[in-house]
Amino acid sequence: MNPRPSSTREFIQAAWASTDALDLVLLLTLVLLLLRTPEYWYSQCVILLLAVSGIAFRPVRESATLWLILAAFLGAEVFFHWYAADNHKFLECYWCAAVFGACSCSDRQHDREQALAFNARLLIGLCLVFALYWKLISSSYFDRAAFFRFTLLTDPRFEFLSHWLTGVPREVLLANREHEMLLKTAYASGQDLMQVRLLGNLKVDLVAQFLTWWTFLFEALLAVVFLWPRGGPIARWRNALLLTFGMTTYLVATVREFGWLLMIMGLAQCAPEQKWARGLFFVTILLIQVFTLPFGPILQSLR
Amino acid sequence: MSIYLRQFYLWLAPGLLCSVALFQIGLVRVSQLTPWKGGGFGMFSTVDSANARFVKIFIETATGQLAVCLVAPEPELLRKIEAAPAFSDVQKLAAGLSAATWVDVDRAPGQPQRRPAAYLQRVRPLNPGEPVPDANVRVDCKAVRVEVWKYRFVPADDHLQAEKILETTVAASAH
Repeated sequence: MNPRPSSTREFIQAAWASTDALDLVLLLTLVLLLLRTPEYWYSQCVILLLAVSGIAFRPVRESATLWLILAAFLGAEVFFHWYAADNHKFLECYWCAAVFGACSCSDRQHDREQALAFNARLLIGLCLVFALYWKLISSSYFDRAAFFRFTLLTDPRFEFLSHWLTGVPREVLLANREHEMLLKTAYASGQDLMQVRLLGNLKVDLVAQFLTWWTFLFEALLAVVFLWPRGGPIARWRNALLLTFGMTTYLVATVREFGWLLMIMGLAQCAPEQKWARGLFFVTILLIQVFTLPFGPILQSLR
Repeated sequence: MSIYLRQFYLWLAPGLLCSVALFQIGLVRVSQLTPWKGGGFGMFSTVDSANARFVKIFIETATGQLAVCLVAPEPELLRKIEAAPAFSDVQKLAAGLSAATWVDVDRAPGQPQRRPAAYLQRVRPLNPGEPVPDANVRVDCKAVRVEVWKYRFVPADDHLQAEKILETTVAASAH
């Protein structure tokens, strides 16, 4: 019989040590599916029912059939709405297919964990390779850092960062968004508006250049370490790099579902002895949720 | 379990990802699909997102005047047109609107204010099941023109430049 833990810290440590890694990955994936932004009620109600039954009953969540049905419904969603679905909706479908594959290929827990870790590494690496491809061929990504320059000047998600790093007043950023909207709607008031000017300052250029290269190089590094076929020193950087990516990228670009999914896959590819890394991936999932809070308005109201 | 079946299970998800992403790369090349959509992981790589595309709908009235449609009809079709503008979809939208009954927004009951003189006449299609209003509120439509636009960002002087990418006009069908 285990000795009774003497403090909360020891209790948490004991609980975490006894946690089954595969089960944690399956549970977190089902929680993600439960909390995902519902787009189409007809598929979401089935996904919700399946996710709840999977969370409630362990044999259900360990059944390959559950994951096949989930993958099929998520796949149908992106198939019928391919023009509207965000990339993480596709990735959710692939991840459920990966869990289905892992649960189907063996009855042994160890083999399932290995199969899921293999899929997690490939899915992370491949989606970053395609993201890099698009950045490389884009005419507006590297040319004067146009993409991030435009994003810093108009994207409401980047407003706080843009104002904080470049000193462009929030009123100016708001006016930029209004100008962008005017370009789309001015025709309704009889105006033939063909171009609008966005306002910024010189610092926007510097920050945009930094974000352009930081994002590209970090994604390239992640793609290399996750697609590296062997273990060794390069593979050892996987956890640290993905955790840094999760904690920095999703602080700004608050795409919660994508961030959660990457962290769940990060958790799934951890080696059995890397308990600390699993803990950090779990904490990062919670942090990504915290990052979705409206910090800009909160800080503004405190001033 | 055979080794082939085991390999199939192992490579199913990465295989799906690669197939869809490669198909999306091809689709972006041959159509106007934005790299942000379609499962190719092109997000945060270009200004040319679905948000940078927009649709303008005009109707030509029987009196020869041009009126502007204020409401966004068929939101799902509009989403598709913005993400992947295709002539067939624009034609479908225009054809659907050409069969509608149009009303003057500013003459509708509860709209005492007149539009400024410089503004185009503002109209909207009647929703299915909506009672047909008086003749003075109705607008006789001769044709519907749908235009798809997108803007690009010019970093040299930080301006957004709009350009038309598709246009179609469909004559109104008698009803």
